[in-house]
Amino acid sequence: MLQRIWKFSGNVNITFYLLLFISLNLAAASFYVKSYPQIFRPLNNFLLQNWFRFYGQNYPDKIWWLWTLFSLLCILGVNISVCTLDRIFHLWSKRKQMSLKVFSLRSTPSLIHICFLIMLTGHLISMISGFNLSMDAVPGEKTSLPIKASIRVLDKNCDFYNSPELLRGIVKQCSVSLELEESGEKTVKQIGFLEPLFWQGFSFYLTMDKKADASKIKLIIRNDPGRKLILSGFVFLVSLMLWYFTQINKGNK
Amino acid sequence: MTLTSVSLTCLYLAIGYYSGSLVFFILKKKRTMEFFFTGGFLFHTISQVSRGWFIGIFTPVALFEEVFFLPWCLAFLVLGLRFLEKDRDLIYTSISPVFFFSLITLFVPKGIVPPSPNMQTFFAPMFFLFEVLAHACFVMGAWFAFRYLHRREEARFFDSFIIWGFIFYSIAQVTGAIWCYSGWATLFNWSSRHLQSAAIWCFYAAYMHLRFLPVWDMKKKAGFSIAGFTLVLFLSTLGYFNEMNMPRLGG
Repeated sequence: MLQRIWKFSGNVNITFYLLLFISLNLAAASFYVKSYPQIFRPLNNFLLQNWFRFYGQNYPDKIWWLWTLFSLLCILGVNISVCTLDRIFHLWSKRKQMSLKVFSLRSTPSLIHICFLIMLTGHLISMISGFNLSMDAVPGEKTSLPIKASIRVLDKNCDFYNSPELLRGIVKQCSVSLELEESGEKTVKQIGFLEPLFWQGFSFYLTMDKKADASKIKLIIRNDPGRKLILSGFVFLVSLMLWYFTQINKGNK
Repeated sequence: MTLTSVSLTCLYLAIGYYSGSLVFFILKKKRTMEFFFTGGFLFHTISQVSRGWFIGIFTPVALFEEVFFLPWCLAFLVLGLRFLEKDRDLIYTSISPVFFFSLITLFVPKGIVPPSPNMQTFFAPMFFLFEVLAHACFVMGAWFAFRYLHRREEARFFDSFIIWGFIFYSIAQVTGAIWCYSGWATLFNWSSRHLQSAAIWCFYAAYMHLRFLPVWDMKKKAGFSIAGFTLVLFLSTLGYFNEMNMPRLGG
């Protein structure tokens, strides 16, 4: 009985349909996010549980897709874990019957799945833990960090295009001076667009909206414990895929 | 003559040459068709490169704007296939999607989206380059899947297009995530653009699993890849309409 449940849980047919339903779910989600920005935009600046408390719980009919998405991703996580373990045990028991290259090639899809699981875990960690704050980058603005430290915006300077004529007045780069204080010690650092600052486990970014209005620049302060998992998982996943399909292609020729 | 007018003139010439090649393909004048198609590709290349200097300074993202870059990628793939595969008649049927997507460029604003400070990174043009290349592979995959369903057994290489499209799309997602992280402090945004990309990625990830399911033969896979193209077209086309409302410089 247990064996049957195990086999069923790791069925590739289920993987296929789960991915298909997740795809359709995400497509539907994109329309909800576009239609109700006042509900979903804050999801980028809040941890999931806080967003749900302040926004999500008030709109159960607009957030159904979030529940179905999380449920489908959870089932997919279990499905992929079982499928990967099953395949690794199977290949490991037969490793002496094949060359190292064939063994590596056959194990690659399982490694790709492990990378995908690492990415999923990273996303979950990023959504429910860490620190996420967005504030106006206006001189004088001050906020406290959860490590008994505080930051204050000291100064803001923006550089605009002077030429060519078409670009005149458009923001080229901005720099913001931040005063960082921890245990009575003060330091001053500068940040700019695409020039973030990393300090005491926190990262500080400058962002602006699509209208590129220099007066509405935001300062984002983050501590994202899942980012390394997501990024390393994705980079390895793509590298393994490239290697795997290049080898398969060679084999076919 | 400014680079802006060079870019626009060459774009119109390219569309004219592509339409000429389609006409000669229908008339079965192979040599003339090849001349027009290669000429169209050359004009299109000049148009794309000069588009980078459209507003007087070099803006790499403008080179890879989907509406203009997608037909170029399609034409590039057609020419690449011409040298790799034997059945040229089959390959040149894909002039139709090249013509169709180049025709769309006539109806969209030609100017470029103003460069924002968050775009001044190597990862931004890399993201667009790989995303559009992936879309082009999905379009070609769907086209040859369609030919395969119409009793052209040789068109079974549509599967390779989908696989390489998925790899390019994954590379685009990695470069996009790095760009997003360095610009907006997050690897994934709850925005319609990111959710649509994730939807397309999951759809083709599902396709990649079909090789392990014997029930899904090549015919069913062909049908699935056409459905994938419909999803890409639907989501990307909505993106085009959205981008048409953006403020543009130079036309």
